[in-house]
Parts: sequence; C-alpha cells; structure tokens
Amino acid sequence: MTSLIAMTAGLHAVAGPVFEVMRINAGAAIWITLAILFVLLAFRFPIGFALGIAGSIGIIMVKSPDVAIATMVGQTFTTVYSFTLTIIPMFLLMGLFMVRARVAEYALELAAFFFRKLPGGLGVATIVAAAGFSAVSGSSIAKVATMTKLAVPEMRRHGYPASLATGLVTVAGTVGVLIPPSTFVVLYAVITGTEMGPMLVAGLLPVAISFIAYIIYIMTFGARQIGKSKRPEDADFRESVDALQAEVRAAALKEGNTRKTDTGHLTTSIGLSAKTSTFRNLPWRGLIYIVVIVVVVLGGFLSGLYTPTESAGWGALAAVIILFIERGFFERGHGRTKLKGLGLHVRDSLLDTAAVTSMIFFIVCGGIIFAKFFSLSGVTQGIQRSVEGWVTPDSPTALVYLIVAFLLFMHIPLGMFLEEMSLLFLYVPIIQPIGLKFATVFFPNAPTETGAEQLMSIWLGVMIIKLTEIGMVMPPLGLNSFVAAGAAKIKAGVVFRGTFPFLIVDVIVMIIMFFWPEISLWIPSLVSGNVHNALFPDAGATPVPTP
Amino acid sequence: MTSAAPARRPGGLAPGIKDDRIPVLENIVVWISAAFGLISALATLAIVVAFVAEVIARWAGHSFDPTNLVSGLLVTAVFTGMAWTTIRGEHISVQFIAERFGRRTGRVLDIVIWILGSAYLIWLVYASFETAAANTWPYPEMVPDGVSLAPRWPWRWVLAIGMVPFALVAVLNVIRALMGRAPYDDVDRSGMAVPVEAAVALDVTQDEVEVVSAIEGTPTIDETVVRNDADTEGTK
Repeated sequence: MTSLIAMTAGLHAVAGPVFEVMRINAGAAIWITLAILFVLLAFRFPIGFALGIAGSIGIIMVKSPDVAIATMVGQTFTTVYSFTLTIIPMFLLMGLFMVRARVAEYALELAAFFFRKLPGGLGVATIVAAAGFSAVSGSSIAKVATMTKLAVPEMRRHGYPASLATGLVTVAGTVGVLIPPSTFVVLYAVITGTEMGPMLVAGLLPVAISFIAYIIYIMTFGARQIGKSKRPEDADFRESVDALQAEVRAAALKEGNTRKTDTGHLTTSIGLSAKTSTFRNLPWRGLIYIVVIVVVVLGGFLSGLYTPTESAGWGALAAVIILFIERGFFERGHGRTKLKGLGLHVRDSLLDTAAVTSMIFFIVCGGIIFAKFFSLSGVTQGIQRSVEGWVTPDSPTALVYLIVAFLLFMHIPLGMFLEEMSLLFLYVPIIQPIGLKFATVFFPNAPTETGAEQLMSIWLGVMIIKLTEIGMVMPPLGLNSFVAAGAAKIKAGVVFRGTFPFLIVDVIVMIIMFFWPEISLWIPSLVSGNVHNALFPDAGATPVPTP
Repeated sequence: MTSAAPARRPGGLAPGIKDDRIPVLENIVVWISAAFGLISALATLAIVVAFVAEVIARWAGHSFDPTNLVSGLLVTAVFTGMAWTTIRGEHISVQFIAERFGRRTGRVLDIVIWILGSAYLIWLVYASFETAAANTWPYPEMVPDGVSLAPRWPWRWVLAIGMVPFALVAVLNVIRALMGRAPYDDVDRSGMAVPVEAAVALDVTQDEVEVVSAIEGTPTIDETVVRNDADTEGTK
C-alpha cells in the first residue's frame, strides 16, 4: 500500500507539467470534455467512471488538478456525508424486503380479481398492482422486472400483443418514480434544497392522473388490440412466455402457494387465477402489507411522528417485520429451516441494498464531478445568461411559459444521450435556478417571492421527474425498457414500440400538469404550512405537525 | 444475469469469484471485496437501527441525535460497497454501441477501460488518503453535533480505505483482460446491463424454490446455492 501511494505521489509530481499544458480556454474544454464523455459512454465505461473521468479531465483543463482532487474527494465526500441521503438505502432495503415478501404477486392477484370484468381487465389490473407495489418499493427497476415476470406471461396467454403487454408493464412500473418511496425525488430535493416532506408527496396526484389515463387507454384503444396481433415477434414470443409461465408456476407449486378453486383445479397464487379465485381466498394480507407500509412511511411523517428521513428507516423496519410474518407464519416447513430461509432473505436483501446503493452513489459521485466541471467552465452560468437574454420576469407571460416549456422539453433529447440519474445531476442545477427566476410569473398569487419560489421548485421537480420517467422507457437509453425486454426475453425494440402510446398519454398528462401546477402542489400544501400559505394566501395559516 | 445472492462456494473460494480465476491473487482480492461488501451491508443495517433508536429515544423523552452517525454510516455503506458491486457486475454501463464490436475489439476495449479505470481509481485512492490525512493532522475535522462537536475525520479514512479494494478489483480486471478473460463487471451485454434490482426481482422466484427445497429437506441450502451459482456462471 505504501509503495502504491508513493508511486502515485511520484506520478502526481511528474504529471504536474502535463496538467499545466492541458489547461485551455473554457470553450474548447467544454467540447473536448463532452466528446470524452460520449466516447467513454459509447465504449461501455461504467457511467460513474465516464462522468468522473471526463469531469475530472475537464476540471483540470479549466482549473487545476488540485481543484479536480478537491471535487473528486472533497465534494463527493461532503455530498455523501448526508443525513437526508440515507433515505435512499432505506427505501431500497424496504423495497427489497417487500419483493421477497411477495407483495407484487398478491397485489396483482387482488387487482386481477377486481378488474377481471373490465375490457382489458388484466392490463388494468397490472397497472393497479404496479401502483400498489410502487407504494412499497423505491426502485422502479425492481418494479418493472417483477411486474414483467408476473403479469406479461398472463397477458400473453390472454392474447395481449407482446408490445402492448411489455410496454404496459414498463410504463406502469416506471411511473412510480414519482410515488414515495422514490430515489429520484430524494435526489432532486437534495440537489435543489427543496423541502423533503412536500417534495415526497408532490407526485401522488400527478401519478394518480397518469394511472387513470393509462387505464382509459387500455380500456379503449388497448382492448381493441387484444387477440388480434399477427406480428411475427408475437409468435416468437410465445415460446419465451411459455417458459416464463412454467417457471413461475413451478416455483409457486413448489412453495405450496397454491389453492383449490371452485372447480377443483389447482391454481397458482400468482396472478391470474382471477377467474377461479373467490373473494374469500384472495391474498388479502398483501393489501394489508401495502397499507401498513404506506401508513408507516407516509402516515408517520404526515402526522409528525417522525421526519421524512426517519420514516424511511421505520419503513425498512416495518418491511422486515412483514417479511418475517410472510415467510415465518405463512410458509410451510419446520421452524429451524424456516428460520434459516428467513436469515438468507434478510442477508441477501442487505447485501443487495449495499450493491445497489454503491451503484447509485457511484453515478451520483460521477454526476457531482461533471456538474462541478459545468459550473467551473461557465456552462451553467452561460445557459442562464442566454435565457435571461431571451426573456425576463417582465416579459409577456406566454413567452415565459414557452421558454420554461422549452427548457423542460430539452430534458427529453438530452435523455437520449445520458442516463437519467446522471442527467438529474447535470440538468437540474441549470434549469432549476432559471425556473425560480420566473416563479412569480407562474405563481402570481403567492404572498412572497420566497413562497412563489418554493412552489416553483416543487412543481419543477415533479415535471422533471415525470420527464425522467419518460427518459427511463424511451430509446435508446431507456433502462427500464431494457429491463423489461431482458425479463420477458424479447427484443428491446418491441418494448420501445409498446411504450410509445403510453408516452403520448404521458405527454398529455404533462401538458395538464404544466398548465395547472396546483395538481402537483395541492397534496404538498396539506403537508407543509409554508406551501399551504404560498398556494392559498387567502385561506390563512394552517398548522402542520412537525416532529 | 447476475446472481442476486452472494453464493458460498466450497474450497475457501470467495463468493462471486469467476471460474476461470487467476490462482491465489484473485481469490484474495475477491474475498477482500466480499468482506467490504459485508461491512457495507452492516452499515445499512446500522442506519435502520439508528433511526429506530432515535425516534424511540425521542418518544421516551431522551435526546439522541444520530445525524453525524448515520451520515458517516452512509459514507461507509457507499464506499466500502464499491468493490463488491463491481465483483457482482452491477455498475450500469451503456452496452448497445459496444455490443456491435467484434470479440477482438471488445477485448481491446476491456483492456483500455480497466487501464484507464485503474489509473483513475489509484489517483482517487491517493487523493483520498492525502485528503484524509490533511483533515486529521494537525487539526482533526469536526462538525457541529447539537451543542458539541463530532469528529468527521474518521469517515474520510473510511472513504479512503473503502476505495482501496475498488482499485484492486480494477487492477485485477486489467490483468484478467490482458490474459483474455472477461473482467468483473462484465454483465449482460445486450442493450444495457441489467442492474441488481432487476436481478433480484427475477431471481426471487428462484430463491423461493431454493428456500422451499431446503425446507423440504432436499437438497440442502448449501447444495442448492452451489448448484445455482454454477448455473449462473454458465449463463454469463
């Protein structure tokens, strides 16, 4: 180790003059750094590495190696050394416990029973189950993978085209990024300094609207496609579906998770024994699990029992208790082996959380370094000055709306080249300060400028995360579409095609959210007195409980 | 698809180690990474305990502010888990352009990626130790903790030490790539790498089979885990 450090120190000394030569003007540095970033990304560098290496080289070019080191080690440390960010591993842990407690399976079975008579009922059930699962899992990737595994084989069996089935689960699993627990919401709040409590709940109403819009689409246009597809991939897909179906049923049968129906046939609990399930033998405990988690996480901080950050820790505790109940009481077997199985589930959940946390923060650290380069090279300030040249708060309202809409829209093409989490770190520091300048245009009734800015920050957050959700399913980098394709064992192109109609639905929802910001702010106004007073200045101050 | 669970293997081999391992050296590096991964997992568990204890203490009328403790534990969870995350192949990368390259080009890319990655990480390790030392002597870094001060400098050492196995894994990957073997972090190369949450979700059903098999008595957990791990290796 000593020799390694000595060698590095030597390299550091030799590299000094090289770094001096590397220092060039900011304009050239920006283009060179961006080129390096895209080359590294294209050559399948881990995204954290690509951002970190390109950002560090950029900082060296515009400043010095010392500034690069201060950013690489100093700023990343101070960012990660954060009480608020501990929400992320807690929410991840909670989600992984809940996956292992079979919550997604139960949610799907319940939803399938209740919506079985609607046109496109299975699709509707999948969306509702995804919504329920979203309330207990902080990872959209886990949601998409789980719902694909559980729902797609059944939908295919009922004649849903491959693109519709996979597109539906991808979008329904992804839209939950706005529902607490959500990693993206936490990161946005931390990056912008927005109050965590109202930010966590701001997405609830927009997501509800999205889900309703998806359901309307499924029941109208989607239902017409069921059983009519003649695309070749649907024929190819049948084989993989059969395999998936067999896999799921085999697992369910093996774990004894079966029940006799009225007709005397054995069915798995997973999904879609809906036609034969009876009201009484539905897995109601799945619903109880979801309600418990929602009450512990949301109810806890809404009632002032604890802070949003602490609520994540309590959510993880509740989830592990649920896992113990599910695997300890409802699973067949002897006490000792059950205990051993439980231990394995807990251990694996913790190790998985550790791996995902490190993966996320690796990207976060890379994003911090690259965002610092943007700031040091003047990119952030340059864009802000350009926008200020086009429009000021005194400009016509329509022009201000147009510019803000344009800036938000730019997130979509940028998302075609950058992974969503890194984009959050690069784009939010640029767009959020610009948005705040126009806060009084969007919220003219707010009693103070600070109040208007608070409303604007929350509303922008919801819009940006909604755009992030679109980026997560859109080609070419839509991670969740790749996850669904991998889980369903089909080409990503089929999934991308299936998500397209839902993205149109999303755009319509976003337009509604854009012109009626109150949709994103009403629930936060119930949580935060500041938000309430800014949004409803005539209603008088409302006391909001604080822990 | 990566394995959701770290598997125990016979013969003292580290969990997650590749079958075409380089004797001795690789086992040590992977064991170190696994040990650090365990520390990361324990830090996550400690955060849960700290939050629960804080709220219970508050309800009981006592004062316990874990802000600095959990912040430090998050640093531990993040940086000690980096190497383990790499061993498990969880770091996300964009694959869809590189997958069009041939095998030979892919190998060259592996070498370039991990040489650059190693150089960057070694520089980062050096900078981390330098910064940790500067924040420890002569004036230890402290942060406000209620009415008193809490030391923050130990967590800087945690970051520095946590990055060492990450750098070692990167160097190991260079060696593997030079020897024509697939580096760690060499995950599913179709489209984008499938991250761990997906792997967990997809493998849960399989996990259940393992656990249930164990409950029923045949085969034993260890046998199943070893068998599944072998299956996983086969699919890589």
